[in-house]
Amino acid sequence: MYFFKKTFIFLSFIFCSYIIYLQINILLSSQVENVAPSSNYSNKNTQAITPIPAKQNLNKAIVLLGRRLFFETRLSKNDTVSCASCHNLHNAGVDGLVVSAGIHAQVGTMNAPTVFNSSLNFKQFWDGRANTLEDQIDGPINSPSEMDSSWPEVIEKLTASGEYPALFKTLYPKQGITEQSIKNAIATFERSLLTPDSPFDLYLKGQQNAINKEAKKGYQLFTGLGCISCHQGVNVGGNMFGKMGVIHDYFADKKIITEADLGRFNITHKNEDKYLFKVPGLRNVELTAPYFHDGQTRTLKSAVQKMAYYQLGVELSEEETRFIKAFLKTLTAKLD
Amino acid sequence: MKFISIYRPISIYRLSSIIFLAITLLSILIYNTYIKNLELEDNLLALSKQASTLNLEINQSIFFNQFGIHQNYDNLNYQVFELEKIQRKINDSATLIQDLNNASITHSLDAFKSNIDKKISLIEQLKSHYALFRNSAYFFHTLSQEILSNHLLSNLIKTPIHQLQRVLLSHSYNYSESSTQLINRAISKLQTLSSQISSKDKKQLNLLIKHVQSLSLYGNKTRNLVNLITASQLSQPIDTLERVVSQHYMLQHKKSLAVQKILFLLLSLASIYIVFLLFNLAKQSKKLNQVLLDLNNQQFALNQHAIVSSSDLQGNITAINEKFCDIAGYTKEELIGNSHKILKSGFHDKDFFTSMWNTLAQGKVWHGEIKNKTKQNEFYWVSATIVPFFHGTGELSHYIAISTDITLQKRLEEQLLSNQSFMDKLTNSMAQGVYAIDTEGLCTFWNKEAERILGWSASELIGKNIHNLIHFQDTYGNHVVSEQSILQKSIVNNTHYSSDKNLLTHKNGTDVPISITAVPLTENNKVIGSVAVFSDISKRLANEQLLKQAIETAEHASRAKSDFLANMSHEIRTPMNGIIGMTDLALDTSLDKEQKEYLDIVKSSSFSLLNIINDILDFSKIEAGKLDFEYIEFNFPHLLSETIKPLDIRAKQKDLLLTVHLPPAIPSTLVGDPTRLKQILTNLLDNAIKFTQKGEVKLTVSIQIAGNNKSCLQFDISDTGIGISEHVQESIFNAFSQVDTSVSREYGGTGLGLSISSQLIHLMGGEIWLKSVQDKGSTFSFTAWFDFPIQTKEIPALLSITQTSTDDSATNDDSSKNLNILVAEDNPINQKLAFNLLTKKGHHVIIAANGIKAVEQFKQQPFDIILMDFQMPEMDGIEATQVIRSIEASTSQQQTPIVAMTANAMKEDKDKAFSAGMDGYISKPIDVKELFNTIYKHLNKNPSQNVTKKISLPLQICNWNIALKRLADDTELLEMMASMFIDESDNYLKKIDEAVNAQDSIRLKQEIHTLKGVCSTLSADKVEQLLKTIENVVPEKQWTEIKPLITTLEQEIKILIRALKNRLASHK
Repeated sequence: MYFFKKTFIFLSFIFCSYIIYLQINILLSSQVENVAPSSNYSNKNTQAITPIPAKQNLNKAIVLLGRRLFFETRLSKNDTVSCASCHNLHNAGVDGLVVSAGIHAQVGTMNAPTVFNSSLNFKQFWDGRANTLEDQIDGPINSPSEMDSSWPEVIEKLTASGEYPALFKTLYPKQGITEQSIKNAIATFERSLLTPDSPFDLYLKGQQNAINKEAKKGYQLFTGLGCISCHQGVNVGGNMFGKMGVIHDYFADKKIITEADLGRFNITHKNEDKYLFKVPGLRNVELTAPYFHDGQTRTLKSAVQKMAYYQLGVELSEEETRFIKAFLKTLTAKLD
Repeated sequence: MKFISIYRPISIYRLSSIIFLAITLLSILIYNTYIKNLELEDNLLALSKQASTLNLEINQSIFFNQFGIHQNYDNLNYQVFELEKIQRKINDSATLIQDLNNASITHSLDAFKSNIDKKISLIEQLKSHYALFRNSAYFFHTLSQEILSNHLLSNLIKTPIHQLQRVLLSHSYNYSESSTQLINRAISKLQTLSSQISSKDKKQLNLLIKHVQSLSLYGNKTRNLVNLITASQLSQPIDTLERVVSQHYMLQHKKSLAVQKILFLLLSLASIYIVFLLFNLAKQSKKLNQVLLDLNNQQFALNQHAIVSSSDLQGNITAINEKFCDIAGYTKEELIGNSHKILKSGFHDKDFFTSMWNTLAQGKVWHGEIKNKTKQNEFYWVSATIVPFFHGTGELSHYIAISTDITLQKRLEEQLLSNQSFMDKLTNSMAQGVYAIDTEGLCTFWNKEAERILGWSASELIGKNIHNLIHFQDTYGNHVVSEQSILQKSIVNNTHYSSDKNLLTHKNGTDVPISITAVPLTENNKVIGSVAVFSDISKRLANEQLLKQAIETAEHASRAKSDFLANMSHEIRTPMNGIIGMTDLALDTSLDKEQKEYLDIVKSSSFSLLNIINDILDFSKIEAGKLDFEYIEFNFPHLLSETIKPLDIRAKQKDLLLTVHLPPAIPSTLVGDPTRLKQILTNLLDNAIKFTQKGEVKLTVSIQIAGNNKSCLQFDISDTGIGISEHVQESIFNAFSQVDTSVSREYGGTGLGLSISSQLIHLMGGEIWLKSVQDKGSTFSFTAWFDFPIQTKEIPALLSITQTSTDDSATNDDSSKNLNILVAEDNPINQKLAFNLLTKKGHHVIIAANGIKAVEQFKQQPFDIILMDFQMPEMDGIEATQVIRSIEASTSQQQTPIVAMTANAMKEDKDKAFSAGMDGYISKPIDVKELFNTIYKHLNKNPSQNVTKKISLPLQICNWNIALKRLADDTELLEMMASMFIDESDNYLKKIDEAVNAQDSIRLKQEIHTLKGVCSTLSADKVEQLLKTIENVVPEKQWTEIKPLITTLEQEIKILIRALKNRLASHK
């Protein structure tokens, strides 16, 4: 009898402890750290093209950590490729190649877009398969032709490194080195890569002399021809999907068609999304050659002419092309 | 006394556990009254509201974009993004709420998500389409202006363009169905007119039409999309969500109400229980009164029986009962107030009372027997129990003594004690140990002598079960259970038991051998125990042991001597080998007559000495039990002729006639030990010749008992010699006895010959006897058993005595000159001997001093034959042979004949030699003839001799005909075996490989053995030989050596399979 009593009391004690444990657990679970994904750019300005805001509210330490990670080759399997390998910050955030070279010199399928102002895009990648900069990072990390790594591998390497554990411990005290914290740091850095105060932005802000006459004419053409209906917003594009080849069939004229040419269709598998691509932002477009998703167009002049031909059915005169080019160049800001 | 337990207070432990349980239960219930997840639910509802608001804002933005109030999509994108974020949050909080994962919530969440997804997808379409629409609108404006400003164009064309401008601009690019008709009409008009204008203008016009069509198309699409988007309802799934959450909330609420009810119920129950407890308490107090009454009655009963007194702490009597007064002879008044000392008898000493008072002072109960004195100075005994009592504060208050009168009992006890003491004196003066046990096995008696012998004192043992202390093992140290001891046996069977071989154990653990007698102890014809009387016999046993040891030592010395002699074999033979061999060599040189004579004497003396040594060694081997017998087939007539030949020469020298009578009925091939038979016959015939001066010596063989597969042969050796007197006949087969000591002087000999022969015959299962008449002659007869070989062969014609063996001719055949011979021998004398003997015959000889060097030489060049000493330093002959054989196997060479040279005359050495892969065997000292015989016998180039059994033919891959013969010409069976082998061979090899990899020698041996059996059935000699080699290497576990052998085996098996396949194919 004595034994049974003792056992029963012991069991009831365990039961009480369990209930207390459950309560604490519920309390703790409501305190789980939630790193907010980046919010898209909230633009209250209703004009077609709006200037880039000068000030941002970002944690500078995290930006610096992100910058370090951006140049970190340990994100790739054999420690050879970093984000900066393809998104050269000294070359307007691109590598100038048709398609980029990843790990073991493997090549990609689409032209690498610039990392500058990428946070102003409503989605990432040409086919818009990532909603946020954070989600975008999964792509190159896991792609066998880019970095060919995985999150567990990356986390293991960074944890084993000399500097990162302390940095993360300070900046992400609750998380440490995790997939989320690494992504957040890199994305935060990328968010800092805005290029405000281009001549055209200054013009929009009222400095009439910020751009010359030719550029002004170009802007008129840009609007009058209808380019501005797609290339609008703060990033002069980057906020919608558009079909490549509206009036003339771009892909019929192309010699080699790849799977990547199907664009948005590869993500949604809807017929109406064939040949749809994210309309690229035109900021710093002067510096981000070659152009279009396939990188087959080497000069800005050619890109402008092709756009007019395929999207409008217009063959621009040399003069018109020069004007539009002059306008586009005013979108180039000081990069550092 | 059950009722008393009711008043035991509930222990603190029990009480606290009950309280703890109650609190636990209450806390669980109270915990359940709270409504959980309230915050989460509120949050969910707030999010739903946000989603609704955002939905409306998105609709608004879409209108703003459509009407050009917003010229970029940034704001719309932001709102869509926010909506997605809220949708995710709703999903997260819904899953966080416990018990809410039911179907309806999942469904409404899914519906909510898919509605949002659908809406976003429509918005994306709208953005694309609307951009195209605006694009065309901008361009239409630019292009139409350009066309209208062209002065070359007629107004006919400009009019519909004006119309289009009007329609499109007036509706701000948002036109209705009616305007579509106007547009279409204008377009068709333009199309008809376009044929009249220049190609450049036509191109412009066509582009204009295209963009107008685009405007119309995307205008419609945009309108439809806007309708769809604004019509899409997010509120419905949100409502459902809210409803489900509210329902859940209500449920929680209900549950908490129910728990509150339970709580109330519990409280009521608790109140009822308290009332019940109070009622119970009243009942118990009533019972208590009853108990008090009972107690009084009991006290009364006690007073009737016992002497009861009460005293204070100083021993002064405070109360007594009547019984006390009766026995003490005092009145109550005389005693109360007085000390107990008044009753003191003076019998007990001071310590007795001191210990009593000490016990009581500690608050303990005291029991004891006290002798008291009455008022009339008479003594009486009481058995008293004195109980101390306490105040409530824990201090002693008084004592109560309860006593009974035991005076009579005491008197009887005293009588008994005096009897006992007499008995003790008696037994303690005995010179034997005495002890007794009762039927339970407990010791009841133990005398002084027992104490002296075993070290235990009586006080240590009395009342204990002593079997396991002193009597638990027999003389061999085995454990004896109590039931098997002779004391218990005497109790059970009620008889005497005696034993001279018994063992008792001393207190210090040593064993004491004793002789013991156990007698049952009876009372009223019932056995009540057993008495054992024992005496120490260790001295006697020690003497016996000394005697035994002396005998053993003597036997051991004798055996050691025999061992020594047996082992002398090698030591003695080696120098003898030198002497005889060197003499042989010396005789071959050019000598003068005198020298030759001396050397002949040396040689014959050496042989005599060798014979004597052989006799002594044989004798000692027999003594040492180290003699082994062969069991082989041999040609009986041939053996006889070989035996007779040297004796015949001696007989002829003495002009004696030596005849042999061999009846034809005796099979020519027998199985047994030919060497020993030859030895016996030689000894007996030699004796006969030796002791016969004139006449004849006759050997007669007859069949004594004939069996189917064995028979007993009788050999009679009769002579016409000096005969043996009767008294000598009796001892003639004993060792070291000759007919007369004078005989040894006259005839020589060790006197061991007959003894050895007789012992050999006995060991072979036969008998020896003799008949003799002094001066007339003797007949020695013996019998011996021989088996017949399994296959009876043709009996060859009777051999004539003078027939010479074909061996001899082989020896003289010098066709095999210039052989390349390797001699492995460590002894320098033997090295020289072998070298000279062989080089003399023209052979090329290389000497290796040990096995390692022999192997090295073998690796460097091929040899025709190898002579291998058995015992060598570094690596012995057996090991060297194994290594050589494995090298040959791995390089697929033909085997070089290896002949063992050894002074080890033991049979197991011979077996070892053959199993190691040796082909022949010569014993030392080397007999020149034997040496060359053996060498030529084992050389392939020598024409084969009919006596050779061990010819090394080149091994065949598969000897089909022999295999067929073995299977009694059953071709079908053999073919089946062959194809089975082909199929299974891979499996065999796999198993062998596995065993080798696992380094499992036992398994490997089994596998090799199995495969060997199969190969021998197929007569696959080459593979079989290889398997034998591997088998020999396996026990040494030289895995590195085995691996190349296995590789060779695999190759050989491949060859064998190919051969078998060819054979099978040719048969079909």
